[in-house]
Amino acid sequence: MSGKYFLIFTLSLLVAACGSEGGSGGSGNSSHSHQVASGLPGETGFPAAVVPANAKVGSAAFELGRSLFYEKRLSGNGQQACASCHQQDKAFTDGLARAIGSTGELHPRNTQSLANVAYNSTLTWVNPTLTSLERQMETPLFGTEPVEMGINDVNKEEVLQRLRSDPALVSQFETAFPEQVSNGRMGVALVDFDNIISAISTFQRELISSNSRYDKYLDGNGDLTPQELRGLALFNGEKAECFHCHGSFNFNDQVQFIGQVPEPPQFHNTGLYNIDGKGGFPEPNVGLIEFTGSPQDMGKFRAQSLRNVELTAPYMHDGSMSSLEEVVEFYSSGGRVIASGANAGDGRKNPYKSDLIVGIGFTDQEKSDLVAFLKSLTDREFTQNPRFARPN
Amino acid sequence: MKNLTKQFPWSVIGGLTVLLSACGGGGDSSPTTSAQQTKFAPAQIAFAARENGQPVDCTSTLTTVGTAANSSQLRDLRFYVSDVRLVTTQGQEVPFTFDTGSTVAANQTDNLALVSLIDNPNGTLGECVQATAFSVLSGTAPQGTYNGIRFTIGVPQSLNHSDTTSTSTPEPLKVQSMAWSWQSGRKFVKAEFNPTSGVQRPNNVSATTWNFHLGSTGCQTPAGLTPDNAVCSNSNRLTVSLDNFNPDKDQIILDLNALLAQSDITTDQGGALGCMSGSTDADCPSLFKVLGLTIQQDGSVTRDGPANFFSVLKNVR
Repeated sequence: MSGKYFLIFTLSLLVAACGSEGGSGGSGNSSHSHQVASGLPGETGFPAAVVPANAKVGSAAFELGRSLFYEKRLSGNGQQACASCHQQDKAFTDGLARAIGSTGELHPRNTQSLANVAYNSTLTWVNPTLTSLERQMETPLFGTEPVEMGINDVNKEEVLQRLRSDPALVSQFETAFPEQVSNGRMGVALVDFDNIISAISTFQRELISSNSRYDKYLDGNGDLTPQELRGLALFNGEKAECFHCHGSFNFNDQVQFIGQVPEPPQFHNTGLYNIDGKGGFPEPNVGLIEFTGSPQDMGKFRAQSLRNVELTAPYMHDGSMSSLEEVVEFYSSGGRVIASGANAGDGRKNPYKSDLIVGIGFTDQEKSDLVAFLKSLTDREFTQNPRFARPN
Repeated sequence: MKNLTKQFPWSVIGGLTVLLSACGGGGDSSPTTSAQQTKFAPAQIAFAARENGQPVDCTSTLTTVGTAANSSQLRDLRFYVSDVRLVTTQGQEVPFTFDTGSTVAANQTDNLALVSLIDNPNGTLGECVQATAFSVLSGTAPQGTYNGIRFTIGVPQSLNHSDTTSTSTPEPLKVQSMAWSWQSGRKFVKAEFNPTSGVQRPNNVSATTWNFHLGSTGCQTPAGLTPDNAVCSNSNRLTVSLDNFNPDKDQIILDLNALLAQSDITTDQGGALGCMSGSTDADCPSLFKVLGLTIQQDGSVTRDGPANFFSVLKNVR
């Protein structure tokens, strides 16, 4: 069984290795509405990303998106930017168990990394409808449960006016959307949410992290330590079997790229909770059941990419684990036992837990080997790349 | 006008409706008028909200809605209406065509309107603060005499998952507070109430608002596609069928007592606050019954009949 999966993993590495050929190979799916954007990955060693047909590309849109990503005026009360919760030095996470919105509201979920987000087939912890960055962005901008950036019907014109009053920013819009300018739409008229979302998505699609020590090792440009190599073998081996859910070039199981036949997104219950002895997860984070209503979808969430995982603590959908050691211990035990309190219960016995989560029983040495390998996925070139930093 | 409506005996309306629907099924199928001969005339469809027969707005104190004896205030009351058909005195259904264009309110577009019954500028809660009223659909219908109406509460599937910010999206679907990123869709109905006592939650924490949000659920975007292609297992669109309705003279009443006849808005039984259409939300099954919907054991929702929280108020226009 594991042999087959190892083959898949190997294949994805191969795909990664020859990715500069873009979408020329593989089984093209003529039924979907996507196209390859020129200028995307290739040199990163990853396959070409799937990009919606109407997505904006180009450096002017990227630079505008970058400005807007760091723009606090793009929130209802002017207090929060995308970058407030997606901080580059933490691989675009915030270091909090659960995010805090512009009005101080505590988010039920943990902020996710934006590294390689262009490759994700769905974009949040569990929502199976949000498959494009453009549409996902409506949630942080306009969402009310919880309020994140707090733009609403009452203040949305005011928010646009703030941006329109900045001539340098307006000029960036004109550079980024020349085709609209040539259609007679210019100046402040270009500053609308459609264009704002389009530009920020362009910025996000270029947030590619592919220069970790692990990547350099794969490319033959660097070494991993013996301990990291033991961790890698464990990761891909029969004992730990991490690769089932974290096996793609992006170390998750929800990737899409040109040449791949699109697959329905996977969600998993890993035995984090069992508050009622019947598999229950605490409200409001009950998982895929919130969408399907199917009891067997209780507690299912998306497997996260492990790239830069050293920098994205705390972990899990609700930030309920503070360290990588704690996470490895959790998988070693095949679930989490919470002894007391409102969330007490034996997650190991959650009836909806994935068959892949079994008590592995790592030795202490194995645990530290695995953690050492996971830390080799840290990409400092990504977290320190001036292209992604706050513009001057 | 208000005095007239106040005095109108509600039991009589109910009785008349039943009588008319009972004898309306005679199937008087007169030959259809050919297209060349059909003349169209302006028509309007008016909506209003009432509690116990009395008009309500954002400043009203509601005292009789819900199963618990408690006062409450409206925080929001809006819904999408589409696919409107008038029924002639001969029993024939004809389409009501929505007016479109720059002179029409932003709440209305082709075959779709966002009806907003929060129309008091002194409102202080929720969407009442903005108080954008829109209660009368304007359009045209073939000239004739009508005594019934059919319509859908909801956004057609082809538009439900559209981008909320795109310039190509019709105005009523750009309203962010009706957007429902949970399903990449829209809330079809957004009715929110603030009980004076607050809303008691299972964990003994009190909240301020009991929400009713209706929309298509069980939505998923097929692999490889963008969210405007989302498909949903539960449409949750409501069909409303009212007899004895004359568009020139009558109003369609959203009856808050009927809507919340099975709901206790001072408590929340878990899940989303109030009923937000989740199949596992304990506050939804009884409310869905009023809508003509049944939530099945497996989370699917079936439609058993028409929604029955709308009624006709005669001769008020």
